[in-house]
Amino acid sequence: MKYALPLAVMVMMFSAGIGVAGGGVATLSEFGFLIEQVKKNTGEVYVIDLRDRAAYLSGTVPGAVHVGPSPDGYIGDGRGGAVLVIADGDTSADILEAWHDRLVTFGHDPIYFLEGGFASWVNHDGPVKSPVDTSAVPGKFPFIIPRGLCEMNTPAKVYP
Amino acid sequence: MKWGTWLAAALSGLIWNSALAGEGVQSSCEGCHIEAAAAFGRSAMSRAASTSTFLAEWKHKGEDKACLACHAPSGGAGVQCRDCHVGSDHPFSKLDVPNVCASCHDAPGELTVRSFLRSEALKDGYGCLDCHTESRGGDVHDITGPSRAEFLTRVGRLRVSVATGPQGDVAVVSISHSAGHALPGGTSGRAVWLVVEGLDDVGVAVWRALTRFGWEYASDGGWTDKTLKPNRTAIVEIGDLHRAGARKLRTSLVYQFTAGEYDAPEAVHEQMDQVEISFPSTKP
Ligand code: HEC
Ligand code: HEC
Ligand code: HEC
Ligand code: HEC
Ligand code: HEC
Repeated sequence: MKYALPLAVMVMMFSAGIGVAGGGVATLSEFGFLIEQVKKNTGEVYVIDLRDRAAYLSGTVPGAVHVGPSPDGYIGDGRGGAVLVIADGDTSADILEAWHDRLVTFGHDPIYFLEGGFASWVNHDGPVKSPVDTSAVPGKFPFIIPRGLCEMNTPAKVYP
Repeated sequence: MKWGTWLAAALSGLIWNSALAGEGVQSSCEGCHIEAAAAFGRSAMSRAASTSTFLAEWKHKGEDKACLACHAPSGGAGVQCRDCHVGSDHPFSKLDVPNVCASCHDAPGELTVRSFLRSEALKDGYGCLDCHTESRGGDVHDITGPSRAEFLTRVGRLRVSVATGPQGDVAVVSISHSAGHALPGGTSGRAVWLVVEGLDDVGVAVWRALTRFGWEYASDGGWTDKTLKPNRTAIVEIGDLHRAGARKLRTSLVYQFTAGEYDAPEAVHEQMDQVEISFPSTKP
């Protein structure tokens, strides 16, 4: 594996004691797997960020969506699949457990929680990005939509 | 196969002389390289200067010769053999892909090659031809793309979450895609739209939010690249979901072949992905 990590347990699948099939503690290679998936942006792992808005905006896992701290009103798209939950290191176990239950409802499996939260992602060289770079705002067209298909009509910079 | 090609050429009455005598270059290539010519004939590139779409826009631009520098540099109906197989002596030396494509696919407004050079697809060892020729016959010249709408299925992917924030429910939409370069890949006029609609009880849209990905220009003539980059997820947040009595959320990713507004009467669309979410009945 590319990312050899010093700690024995980095990624916990939050399932011990709450009776989810396939639960248990994930291995080191799964941490490497998560970083790899995020770097390649394969879409295999959906990443949600529970931290406050300012923390999210100042830098998160690339592609992570901000869903706020409360699982109560959360609705997933039903497409399920793997999900990685980004939280503060001191988020209570109760809240994480409530999130776990909510995510199961929408078909997510496996569900990854990072022991130590976002900080441990950073400590282990997981990529971090400000979501501002990749977000778009609907309905705002400060620019003109081109009327033709090749309006620039500028010859290429590179000729063979 | 090469001797087969040569033999076919001989049998069809073509001899080296016809090439040397400087008859129509394209036809002389075709006469010997039957497979390559047939395959390239199926590519939209071979017709790039003769489709009704091109002719209409070209006419509108006063038949500007500059357009032909990419659409038909050697004249004729479109791109031709010698536009890629440059150099003097036949048989030509091996082509350097993607540099040979850059003369037309790397220009202001055409960022396919440069976004490919920064993609994970390249790091994983994919080249232009791996993705653009796989579907037919295996000939390198069978270069297809979005001109066949099926090419766009399973390319774009949407994920949607509805979360409760201080200002009420917010839909967070993320968009990713598997093209080995920007989406839309090329021209300044094509676009990909994120269409988010609130639907009422009977499925009629009561509100809609549009987000455009593609090239845009300001009135001072400056261009901005707002395409969806490879290996990056774009995120769009939409609030006030329950307005006008909406009970459902429908999110669609739509490729638009034509330039202009989403609602333009002449717009041609292809849906890439769609997700529907019902709000729980306890919500207002
Ligand atoms: C009279 C028949 C004939 C004509 C006309 C002809 N070719 Fe060829 N071409 C051949 C043959 C035979 C070979 C194989 C020669 C070899 O491998 O040394 C070849 C080789 C090539 C190769 C190299 C193939 C390789 O294996 O790398 C290219 C590229 C090529 N031709 C392109 C063209 C183009 C473009 C034209 C038109 C400008 C053209 N040819 C016209 C017969 C022809
Ligand atoms: C869009 C660019 C492009 C155009 C236009 C093009 N070719 Fe090619 N051709 C390639 C590439 C890429 C290769 C594979 C790399 C190489 O062999 O140099 C290739 C390879 C070839 C070969 C080597 C044998 C093979 O088929 O693999 C022949 C022969 C050939 N082309 C002939 C032609 C003929 C004849 C035409 C016109 C009908 C043509 N090419 C038009 C890009 C092009
Ligand atoms: C990993 C696969 C992959 C690779 C590698 C790839 N493409 Fe594409 N290409 C796609 C897909 C999927 C689409 C359709 C979505 C889009 O339009 O971007 C596409 C679309 C295109 C289009 C049409 C763009 C548009 O939207 O109008 C062009 C032109 C193109 N590719 C050229 C290239 C060239 C040149 C290269 C090499 C520099 C290349 N592609 C490499 C997958 C790939
Ligand atoms: C001489 C200019 C030129 C060169 C060189 C060129 N292209 Fe193109 N290409 C075009 C034009 C013009 C179109 C638009 C055709 C249309 O849709 O009418 C196009 C369209 C395409 C498409 C979309 C086809 C579809 O079916 O939608 C792909 C993919 C593509 N080119 C790949 C390549 C690759 C790969 C190379 C290099 C091996 C290359 N092109 C070299 C001019 C060029
Ligand atoms: C730098 C090269 C370049 C120049 C210059 C250029 N085009 Fe294009 N054009 C392309 C490529 C490449 C495509 C293929 C779309 C894509 O794959 O991104 C295309 C696509 C198009 C299409 C869509 C074809 C279809 O059938 O849907 C039209 C129409 C068009 N161009 C018109 C024009 C006109 C008119 C001009 C001059 C004002 C022009 N182009 C100048 C490279 C160019």
